[in-house]
Amino acid sequence: MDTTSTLSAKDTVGGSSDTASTSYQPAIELTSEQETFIYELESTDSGSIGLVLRAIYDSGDVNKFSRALEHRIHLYDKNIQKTCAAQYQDFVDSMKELMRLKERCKEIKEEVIEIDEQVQHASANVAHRTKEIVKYRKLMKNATIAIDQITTCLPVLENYAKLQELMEMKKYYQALKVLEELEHTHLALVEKYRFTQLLAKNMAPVRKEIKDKAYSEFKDFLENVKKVAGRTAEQHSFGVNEAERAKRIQEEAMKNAADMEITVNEDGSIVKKGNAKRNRRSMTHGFDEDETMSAQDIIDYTPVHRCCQIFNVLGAKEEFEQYYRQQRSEQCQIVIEKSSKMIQLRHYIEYLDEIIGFFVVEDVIMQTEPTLVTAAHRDQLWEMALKKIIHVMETGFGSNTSIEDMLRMKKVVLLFALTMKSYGYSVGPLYTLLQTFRDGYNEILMSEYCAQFEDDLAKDNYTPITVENEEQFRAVLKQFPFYSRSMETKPYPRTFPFSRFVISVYQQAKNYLSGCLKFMEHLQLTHSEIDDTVRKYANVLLERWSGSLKEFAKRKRSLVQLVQITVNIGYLEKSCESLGSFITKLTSNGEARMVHTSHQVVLSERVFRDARSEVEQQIDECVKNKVNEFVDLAQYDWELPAASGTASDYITDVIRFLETTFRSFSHLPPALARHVCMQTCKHIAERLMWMLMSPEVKAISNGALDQFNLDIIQCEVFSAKDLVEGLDKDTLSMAFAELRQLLDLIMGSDWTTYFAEFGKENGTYVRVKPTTAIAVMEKMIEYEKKSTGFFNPRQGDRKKLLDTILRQLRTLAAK
Amino acid sequence: MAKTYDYLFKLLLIGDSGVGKTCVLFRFSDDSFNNSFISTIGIDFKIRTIELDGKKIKLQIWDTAGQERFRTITTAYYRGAMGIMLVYDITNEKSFDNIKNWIRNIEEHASQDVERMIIGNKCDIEERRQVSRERGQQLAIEYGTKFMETSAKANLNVEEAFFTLARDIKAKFERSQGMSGAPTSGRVNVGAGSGHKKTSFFSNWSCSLL
Repeated sequence: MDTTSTLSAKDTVGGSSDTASTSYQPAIELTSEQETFIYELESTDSGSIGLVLRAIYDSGDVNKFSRALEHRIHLYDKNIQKTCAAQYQDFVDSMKELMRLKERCKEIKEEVIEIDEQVQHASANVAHRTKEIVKYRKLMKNATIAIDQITTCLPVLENYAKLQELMEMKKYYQALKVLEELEHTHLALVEKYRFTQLLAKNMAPVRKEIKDKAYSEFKDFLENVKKVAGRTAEQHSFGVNEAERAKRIQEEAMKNAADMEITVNEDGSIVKKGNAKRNRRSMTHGFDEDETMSAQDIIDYTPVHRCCQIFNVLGAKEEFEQYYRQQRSEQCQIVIEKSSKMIQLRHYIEYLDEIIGFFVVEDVIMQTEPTLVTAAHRDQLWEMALKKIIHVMETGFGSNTSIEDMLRMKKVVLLFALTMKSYGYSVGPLYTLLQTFRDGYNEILMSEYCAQFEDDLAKDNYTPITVENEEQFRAVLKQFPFYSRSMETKPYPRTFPFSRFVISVYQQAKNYLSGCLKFMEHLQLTHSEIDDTVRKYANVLLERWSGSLKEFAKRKRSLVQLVQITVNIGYLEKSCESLGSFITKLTSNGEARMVHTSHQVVLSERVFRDARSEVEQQIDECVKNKVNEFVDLAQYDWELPAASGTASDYITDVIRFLETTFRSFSHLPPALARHVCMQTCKHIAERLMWMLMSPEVKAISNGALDQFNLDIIQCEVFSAKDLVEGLDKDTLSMAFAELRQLLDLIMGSDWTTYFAEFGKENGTYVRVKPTTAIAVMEKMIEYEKKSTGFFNPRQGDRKKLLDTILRQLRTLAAK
Repeated sequence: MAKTYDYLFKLLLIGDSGVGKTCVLFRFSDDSFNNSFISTIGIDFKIRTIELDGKKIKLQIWDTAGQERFRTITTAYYRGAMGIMLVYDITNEKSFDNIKNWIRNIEEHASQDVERMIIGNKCDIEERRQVSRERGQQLAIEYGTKFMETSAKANLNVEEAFFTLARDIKAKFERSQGMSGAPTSGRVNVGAGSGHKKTSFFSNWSCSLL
C-alpha cells in the first residue's frame, strides 16, 4: 500500500516533468546566467522564489530559461531513473523483508493479546484486593478516630457517673468538685457531641440540686442546733447543780472584778474584749476538763463548713451568707420569742439556755467561718435578742411575787449575763435589767416584810417582855441591842420595857436587809454602792413600817396597845443605829475597812416621827374618849335646890379612872404622860364648860352651881396631885382656871372686881370672858325668875343690879 | 339635860389573868373577838346600854387586870360595883380554885349585897376542859351565886350572863325602892361618898334618892 502511494506520487512528478521536458528540448545550451538562476532556484528557499522569478522575468528570456529548466528536469529524471534502476533489487529485498516483518508483527500482536488477556485476568483479583484494602484502610482510620474521640469522652461519662454516685451518697461537696472538673476540663473538650451538650445542660439542675441539698442539709443543721441549743447552753453556762452554779458565779464574779480593774486603767472595748476572750478560754478550758464536752462535741458543725465550701465553689458565697444570716435571724427570732407557757422559773432557764446555745453556736461559727458570721452580724443579732430578752424578762417576771423565784431568777440572769459576756457579747442592759429586778425584788421583799410587820403588829401581846432567868435575859439581848445598867442588877423576873414585837421587827429588819443584799450579790456593785443601796432600802422599809404603824394606830386601838407601841417605837428608833452598823458589817463582808460614815446614807431615826406623833395623838384621843364616856354619864339636875355635899359620881369615877390609869401605865414615857395628863385635864375642863354653857340648859340654880363647883374642886384636887413625874402642877391647874374664875365670880358676885380689873393682865378673873359670864348669868336669872319671880318688890333692886351687870358685860363683850 | 338612861349599873369583872375577862367584855360590848392575848393594864371599862322591861339601863362594866401587881388598884373598884362577875377558865384548874380567893376578896372589899355571878369561860374548848360544869355549879351553890359557862370566842352565853346579872340587880334595886317607898326618880347614885364600907348601897341609893 505504501508502495502504491509512493508510486503514484512518482507518477505525478513524472507527469509534470514530462511537460517541462518538452519545452526544454529546443535549447540545449545553457548560458551562465541561466545556470545561476537555476542554482538560485534550487538552493534558495521558497521565499526567495519570487525574487528569482522576478529576476528571470526581468531578464526577459523566459522561454530560454524554461527550456534550460526543462533540460535540467530532464537531466534529473534521467538521474532518477538511473538510481531507481540501480536500487530496485534493494527495494524488492526490502519488500520481502517487510513481508516477513509483517508476519512477525502479527505473531507478536497475538502474543501480546494473549499476554494482555492473561494480565487482565491476573490483575482483576489484585484490583479487587486493592479495593478491599482501601476499604479496610478507611475503616481502620475511622476506628482510630472514633477511639480517640471516645477516649476523650470517657472521663466525662466517668465523672458524670461519679457525680451521680456522689449525689446518691449525698456527698455534695465532692460531687460539686467533680461537677466543676467535669464542666471545666472534660466537657470543654467534647462539647460538639449532643450527649455532652445534654450533659452540660444537666449540670445546672445538678448544681441547683446540690445547692438545695446544701440548703436542706444546712437547715437540718439549724434544726439540730436548735434541738441541742439548750444542752449546749447547759454545758456552757450552767453547771449541773446549784452548788456548782454558785461556785461558778463566784469565780466569774471574781474574774469579772479582775477584768474591771484592768479595764478601768486602760481604755475601752478592746482590752475588755481581750479579757473576755481570755476569760472564755480559761472558762471553756476549765469546763472541758470537767465536762469533756464542748459546743463542737455536741453539734456537728461540718454542715456549715460544707455549705460554706459548696457555696464557695458555686461562687454563691454571698448568697449563702445572706441565706445563713437570714435563717439565723429567723431562728434567733424564734428562740427569743417568749413561749406562751413560760410560767415557772424552769421555763425561763430553758428559754435563756436556748438563747445561750444559739449564740454559742454563732460564736463558734464566727471563730471557724469568720466571713460567714461577722462580728457585726453577730452583735446585731445579739442586740436584737437582748432587747427582746429584756422585754420578756421584764414582762414575764415583773409580776412574779415569790422572793425565792426572784432570787433564783436573778442568779439565772446573772449567769446568763456572765456567760454571754464571756463570749464577748455586751451585757450592759442585762445589768440594768437586774437592777430593775432588784427594785421589783425589793418591792416584793418589802411588801412581804410589811405584811409580816402588820401581822406582828396584830399578833403582839403588847406586854413588856418578862424574863425569868439569866438565860432568857441573854437570849433577848442577843436578839435586840439593848443595854440598861439598872436592869442588869435587878432580880429576876426582869422586865424589858418593850414587847416581843420589837425583837421580832428588829430581826425582820435584819432579815430584810440580808434579803436585799442577797439580790445584790455579784451584781458588780462596789461596797459603798451596795451599802448605800441597802441603807436606802432600809430607810424605805422603815418608812413603810412607820406608815403601817400610823395606820394601825388610827384604827381604834386600846390604850394598852397604843402605849406599848409608843414605847416600842422608842426602842425601834434606838435600834436604827445598830441596824446601821449591821448593814456596814453585812456589806463589808466582814472585811475590816475604813468606815466613811460621811458617805453613807444614814438610817433616819426620825422616820418613825410621824407614827409616833400619830400614836401619841391616838393616846390622847383614847383617854379623851374614856373621859367622854364618863362625862356622858353625867346627869346634872340644873335646878337642884341644894348641892349634895359630895362630888358627882361620874366625876369621882373619871378621876379615879385617870389616877388608876396614870399609875398603871408606869412605862409611859414621862414627857408623853405629862402631855396626856395636860390634854386630859384641858379636855375635862372643856367638857364641863360646854355642859355649863349648853343651850339646852336654860336655867341654873344656885344649888346646881354649888354641885358643879364641888365637881370642879374634885378636878382641881386631881390636878394638884403629883400624878405624873415632872409635871408642873401650876400648869395643870391652869386647865381649870377659867372654870374656877367663872364660878368664883358668879358665886361670889364679885362683879365690881371683875369690871374694875377687866383688861388687866393680873386680874383675878382675867380668864373669864364677858360672853361666858353673860350666858351663865342669864341662866341664873332665868332660874331666879322661875322660882321666885320678879314680882317680889324686894327683888327690884336686885333686878336692877343684874340688869346693870348684864349691860356692862354686853358692853365689854362688844369690844 | 335630857335623860339618856333610866339606870346606871356598875359591874365588875374579876378573875385570874388570862381567863378571858377582857374577851367576855369585848364580846358583850363590841360583839367582837380577838385571839391575841393582850393583858389588861390596871383597869378599863366599857359601857353598853341595854333595855330591860322598857327601862334603859346603862351597864358600865369594869374590866380589871388579873395580874397580881395591879391587885391594889383593882380592889379599889370593888366597892362601887353593884354586880361582880367572877370569871375562871374551864381549861385552867387553878383559875377555878382561885375563885374562892376572889370571893374572899369581894367579901373583904365590896359592898355586902353586891350581886355576884360565877362564869366559866372558854367553854368552846371542850377538849381541854379541866373543870367540869358540875364543879362549877357546885361552887356556885356553895356561895349562893348564879353560874354560867360562857365562850367569848363562840359567843356562848355572854349576853345571857350580863342580862341575868343586870336583871338581878334591877330586881334588887326596885325591891329596895319599893321598900323605901321613894318615888322612882330613876337616878341611881352609886357608891357616892366614902366611909360606907360594907353597907348596902341600896340603902345608899335610897339616901340619895330621898
